[in-house]
Amino acid sequence: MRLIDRAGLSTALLAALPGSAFAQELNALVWCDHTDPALIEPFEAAHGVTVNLREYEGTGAALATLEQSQPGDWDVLVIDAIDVPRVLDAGLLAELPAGELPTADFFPEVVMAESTTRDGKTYAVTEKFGYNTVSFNSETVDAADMSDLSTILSDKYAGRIAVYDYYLPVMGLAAVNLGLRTAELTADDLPALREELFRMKDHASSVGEVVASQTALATGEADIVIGGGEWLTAGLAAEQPELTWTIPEKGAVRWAQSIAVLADSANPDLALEFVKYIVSPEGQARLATSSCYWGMPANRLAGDHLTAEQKATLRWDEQPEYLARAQLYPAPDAELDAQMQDLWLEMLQR
Amino acid sequence: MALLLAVLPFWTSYVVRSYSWLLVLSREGIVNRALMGLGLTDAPVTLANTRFATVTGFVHFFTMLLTLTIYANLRQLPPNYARAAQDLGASGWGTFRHVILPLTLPGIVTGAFLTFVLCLGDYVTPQVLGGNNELTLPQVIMVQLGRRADFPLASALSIALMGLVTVAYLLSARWLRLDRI
Repeated sequence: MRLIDRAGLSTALLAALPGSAFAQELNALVWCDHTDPALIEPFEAAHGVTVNLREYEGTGAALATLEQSQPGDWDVLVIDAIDVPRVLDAGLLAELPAGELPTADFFPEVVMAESTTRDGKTYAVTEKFGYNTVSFNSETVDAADMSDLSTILSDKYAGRIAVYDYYLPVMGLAAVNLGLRTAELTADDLPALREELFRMKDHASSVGEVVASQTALATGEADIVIGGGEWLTAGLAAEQPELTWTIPEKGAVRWAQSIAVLADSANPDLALEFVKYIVSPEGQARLATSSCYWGMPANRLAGDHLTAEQKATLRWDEQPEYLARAQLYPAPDAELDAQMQDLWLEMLQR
Repeated sequence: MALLLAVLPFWTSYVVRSYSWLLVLSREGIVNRALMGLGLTDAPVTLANTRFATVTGFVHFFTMLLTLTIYANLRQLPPNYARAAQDLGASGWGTFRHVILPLTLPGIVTGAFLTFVLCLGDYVTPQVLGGNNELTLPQVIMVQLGRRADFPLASALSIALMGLVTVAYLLSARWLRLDRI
């Protein structure tokens, strides 16, 4: 009898709780910055829903997950902006109502309509961007040297460099240093890129992903991270203000991530609400300062919701100059992409 | 007590242990500070992100497995065997060489086989401690899966990995006694 009473009480409590197990659920494939409760919980509370997040690394992993899932399993996809056309080709994205998205408030350079729209229809929207450039410890290296990648790759800093383990931005950075346009890279440029990458590897102590690169810089194992940027050092700025970043004179590479609703979503309306929340000024401010990594919000109005310190860490006022000097990630076709990945693997095994 | 101290680090996660070793071996780590404090080196020695770091991690993580496997095997050995050997005039070394070692060989080989298999398939240790300077087979498989979504090549490499384990098993099958652990 007592057991029955308890069961009844539990059921009543569950039913009374907002956002209980009976509430609508949204399933999103995301990058780690979306897993910050400070970003997700306001949306869950406002809509009385549960957002289930699965973190992934690399577009290949996301596509594999989608391929192995049932239609309707996933509602929202966060993806590298340059990979949006690839996902569009696969017919995975639903059209978004362009009129309901605040792209007019975005930094114009990051709207990236050439990637996010097709035949006049919008399928994704940029949510966050930043730079793959040079992060460094200002107490242990000469900041003036950091304005030239060739100086960084001299014997002066041999063994004190870590390279970010992602082939596209680092090869883009190498291309920029060689005076090449990242958007115009071809297979003919690969020999020159190979030499530049090998030079990086010869001067580097490690090649690591996000956490490894951050650890290398924070522990003093490396004084410079090639391919780093605000996303690497901003989160550490409060404790280690000596860790900073710059864009070399020849320029750097700009990264951007997009968010989209999947064509097979079982909750398209809720998924759209989530996208609208993420690109709203409030959502953008929270996403920009997410605990996993910081980055510039695509929506300029997010600035009204960031503190002066947060904006200084993000170099808010320097964005016009930075945007002008940075080139977008290389966006190779499938054949060139495979060749670039082979080259990257060759560099790692060198 | 010695066993407890040896097992203690394994109460935390494998990834945390790997990053702990990275801190210990880094330029600002305790090893380099000790070397410089003792005047053995003037500048930090590169220890992290090397093959040495990976091997150190493997040795630390898997020595305990091997030790426990052999310990479990030794515990099953009746003490009367050693006493009988000594009663028949065998020295301490002779007892170990002719009685204890042959009888514990299955445990030693089992431990060695398990250690080899776990090292061969380990992704975390070389990824965290090796600094991506020398890729192991699991790392190459992960590149194919995570970055390229090349499942056929990843599958082929996984079968090659399984082939190596099978060869190791066949070579040690004569002495393998998994029921001893």
